[in-house]
Amino acid sequence: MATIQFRDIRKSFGDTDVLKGVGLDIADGEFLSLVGPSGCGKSTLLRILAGLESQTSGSVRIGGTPVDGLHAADRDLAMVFQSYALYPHLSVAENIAVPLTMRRLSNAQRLPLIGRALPGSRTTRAAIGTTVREAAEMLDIAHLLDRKPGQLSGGQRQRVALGRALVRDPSAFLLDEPLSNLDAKMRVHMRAEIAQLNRKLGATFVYVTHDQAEAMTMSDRIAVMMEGELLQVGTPDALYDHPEDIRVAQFIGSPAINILPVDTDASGTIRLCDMATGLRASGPPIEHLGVRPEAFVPCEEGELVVGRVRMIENLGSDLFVHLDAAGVPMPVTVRLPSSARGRIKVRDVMRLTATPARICGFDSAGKAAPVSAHDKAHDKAHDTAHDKVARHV
Amino acid sequence: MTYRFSTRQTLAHGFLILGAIIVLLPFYVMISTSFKSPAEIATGTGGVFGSQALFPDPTCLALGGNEPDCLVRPVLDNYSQAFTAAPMWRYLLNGVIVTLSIFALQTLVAVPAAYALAKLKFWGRDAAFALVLFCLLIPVHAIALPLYLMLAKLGLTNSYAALILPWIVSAFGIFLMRQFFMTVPDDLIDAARMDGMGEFAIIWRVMLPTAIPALLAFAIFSVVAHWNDYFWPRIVITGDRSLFTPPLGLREFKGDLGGDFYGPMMASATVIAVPLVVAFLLAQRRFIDGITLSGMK
Repeated sequence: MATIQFRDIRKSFGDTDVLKGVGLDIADGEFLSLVGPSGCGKSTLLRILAGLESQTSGSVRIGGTPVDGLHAADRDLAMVFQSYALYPHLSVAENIAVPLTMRRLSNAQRLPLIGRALPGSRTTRAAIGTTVREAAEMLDIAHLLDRKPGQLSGGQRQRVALGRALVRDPSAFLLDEPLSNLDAKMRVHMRAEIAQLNRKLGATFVYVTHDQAEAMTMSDRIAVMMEGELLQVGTPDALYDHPEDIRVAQFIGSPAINILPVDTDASGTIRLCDMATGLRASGPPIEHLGVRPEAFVPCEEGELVVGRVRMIENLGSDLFVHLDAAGVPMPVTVRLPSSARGRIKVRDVMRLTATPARICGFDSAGKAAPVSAHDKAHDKAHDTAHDKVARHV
Repeated sequence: MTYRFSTRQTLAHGFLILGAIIVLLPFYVMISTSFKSPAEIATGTGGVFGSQALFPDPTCLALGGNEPDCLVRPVLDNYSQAFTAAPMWRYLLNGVIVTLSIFALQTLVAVPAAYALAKLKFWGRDAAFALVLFCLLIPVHAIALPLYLMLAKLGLTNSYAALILPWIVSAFGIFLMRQFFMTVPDDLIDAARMDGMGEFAIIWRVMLPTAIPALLAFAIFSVVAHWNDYFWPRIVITGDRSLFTPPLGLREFKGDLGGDFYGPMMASATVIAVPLVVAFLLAQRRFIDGITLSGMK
């Protein structure tokens, strides 16, 4: 059990800067996910923490002690790999036992044949066998202990890899995209199991993934990385509702957030396609508005967006409606409850609004900027202008 | 299932059969000769197995024996000569000692070297690998003289060391194992490091067991080459017959003045060839059902 601290970690491969000064504190027992698109440096950060790669500058502390320059084996961490990385020549039981035999037995005791005859070897080996069995039972793979990895399914191999990690009771678990080789159903299942494991063991988990859904469902906190920088670290709720950067807003959530290009005039009024939106920038000028698909509400008047239905996706529980909206380059996605089924048809015109609290504003640099409701009620001119657009689309 | 006649296939098989005959013919001559009496060998009669008619053993007659007492059956005489006229068991034992020592030491050098060349990052790695490839181009005979001089200066000629030491660094072995290690996923090595293994533990506990098929392939090349080697033992073993390897043993039957003893010589050659054939018929299966990397991705 340990805290983990990154201090200004930089890493360059030749001329390419993979990490550009990452600082991050992870609490004891926390489940932290590192998410970002591929090539953002998240795996490199994890490998630096593991000791498999060394940083160009900066320092890493585990449990308050600097571990820079310490070998991977001496950092008391366990890691689960995307490819599982099981030893193909060893049985499941032997695979899980490896971290224990490497640590509890001396060099001589590990020798084949002779090692077993040495004093103390038998009792230690028996103790290792018990621990391995306990770990296997916890992961429900006790019946597979004699098999070779080649005879197991993807999900079973994943459990063995987890078993090998947790058998040693390390201070932290590092998981590098452990679910991406599994099929969709298995992935959802293992997602729940890994989150439960974190609660049961109370150990620190650092989980690397490119899948925002995994990060959202499992984590205490998420760190979003892009192009070697940490964009935002926060709880899943905070990231979803209050993204600090337009790239975070776009990365988190499925279907993706709707980004509306807007202008802010000198008085702070935000205009979409030259029409007032009823919103004003209370800070720096706003260039984009972000609205989650479920934040939109159909309305009769005073709308933020108006558009023609292009496509309807019926998921049973929900309805995703895609609109071609005036002044918005990408189709606008709206999530409606299943009760709306049959009431909307393709080519219908829809008017949508959202409460200002659920609208995110972003300035020219893509950083979050405050948005508030316009003081005045919507004037007639605004409404008629919108009507014209509605007839147009 | 019916098979249609195909000119292409027939020609291809005809060509392969011809090749097989060319390769197998010397073995046929060797085995056939080992069955025959000296008269049959000299006249080229007797078919495949010889007539197996009894003939008087010349040594027995020379020692003053009666002809009826000295009659022997050719096949029995040839093979018993092979083992009695020369210490064949000793030669076979030497062959086993030398080839197995060479292979074990080659493994000890080639596996760590190949691991370093395939998986570790260090300055000059590519240059080092290029040198290994370059070493593959150097024929043994080109360096035989300097090697002999070095061993002679060290006083190591006429010893097992002379037979073994020059071969323990095998460029081919390093190359072959390196190519195999390149296919082992990096994750597996990282996992081993996380599990607390040092680099040497990774080599012997992870890389070697996964590389058994490649190591067996190398074993075949190494053992065949050194079991059959006549050139090098002939150079460094000059006097001591107890150090003779099997191919040197064949020279026992090259009688110079007393004429050649082809029958016993071919019997010895057969005895020398049999262990290799048997060993590699057995090893063949391991190639197919050896440990695969399929469990890794």
